[in-house]
Amino acid sequence: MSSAPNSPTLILPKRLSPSSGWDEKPQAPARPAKRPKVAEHPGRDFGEVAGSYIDGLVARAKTIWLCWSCRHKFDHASAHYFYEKNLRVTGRCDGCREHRPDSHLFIHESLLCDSGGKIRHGLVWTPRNG
Amino acid sequence: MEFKYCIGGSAPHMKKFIVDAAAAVVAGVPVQSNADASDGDGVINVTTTAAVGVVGLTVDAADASTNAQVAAGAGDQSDGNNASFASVIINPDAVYSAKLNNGGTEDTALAVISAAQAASSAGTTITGGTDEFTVWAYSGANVGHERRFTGAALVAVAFPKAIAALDEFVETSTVVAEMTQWPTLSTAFTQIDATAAVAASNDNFIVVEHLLRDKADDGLNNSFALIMAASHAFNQNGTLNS
Repeated sequence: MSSAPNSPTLILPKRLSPSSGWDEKPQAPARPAKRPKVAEHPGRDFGEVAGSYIDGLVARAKTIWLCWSCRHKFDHASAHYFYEKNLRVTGRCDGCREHRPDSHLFIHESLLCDSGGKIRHGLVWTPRNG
Repeated sequence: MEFKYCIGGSAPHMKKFIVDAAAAVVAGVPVQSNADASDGDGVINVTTTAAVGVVGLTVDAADASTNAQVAAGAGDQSDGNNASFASVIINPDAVYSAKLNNGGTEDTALAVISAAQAASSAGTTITGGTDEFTVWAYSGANVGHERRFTGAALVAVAFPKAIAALDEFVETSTVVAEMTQWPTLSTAFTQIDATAAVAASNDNFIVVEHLLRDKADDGLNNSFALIMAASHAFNQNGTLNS
């Protein structure tokens, strides 16, 4: 029995016959009809020093999250950042670019509500108590 | 708005997303994918009445991206990348806290429904209420309780204690877990217009719970609705923009 190169060869018992259409090309997998048109920012460029990238974030009051190994390198108080001690976040560390759970979150003071949110409510972040 | 919690109890998941060239985003605003058919690959603000394909809630501000390349350090770009970016909490089950506001202008104090509340021993009649709105006691014996109007001035379930004359009540158009009564956001998308008429056509957020404070806690300036996106891009049930 001869067959075209790379085509599948199916050997069946004599009492069986393939159903119609068994050798048709498979359908392409369904693609989602609509996709969100958003793109994640790549973060720190390869070759860029992590500290320089963090300095850029600080200069623009960006929210920063750092893993446990990078966290101690960031002096958040002198940078006027609030360290949210009572909540950990998941994400790609702004320092080492590794995706880590249990990262530490830093919010710029200009985005901070007061504790309890009664005075400067409606902003971006209210410190978590205890 | 601000992140309050995730229904599943998980930690907030953070990502930095490129901002569309169409407009800047401010901190504390839900952002969604761009529906522009011709260009754009960044997030944009939701609108006051629609939030379809929500990506998450911003936790910092960002300028609009520039289409052309820029010099390193220019504009909002931290690394010479011409794409501005905003930090976003992307959890589909994230609950956002939105302040209740008297109208579309941010930080406008709510108002007591009526300064001439009549006594109601049955605890059912609120002078001057709006049908289908949520009402809560601002002063008096019923402080701490909320109900829903079932017709102007009448609540569906009586307040637990008798209403005395001159007791104060406040109302909001938001209703917890109501699938046909969607909130309308304020002009800058950071708060909720608690006076907006019931709008079944809005497609944006579902109210999870209320934080309705009383007179002793300045409830006119300090009450919130906790909401979650009804259409989230990262939820398998979300409706995505084209």
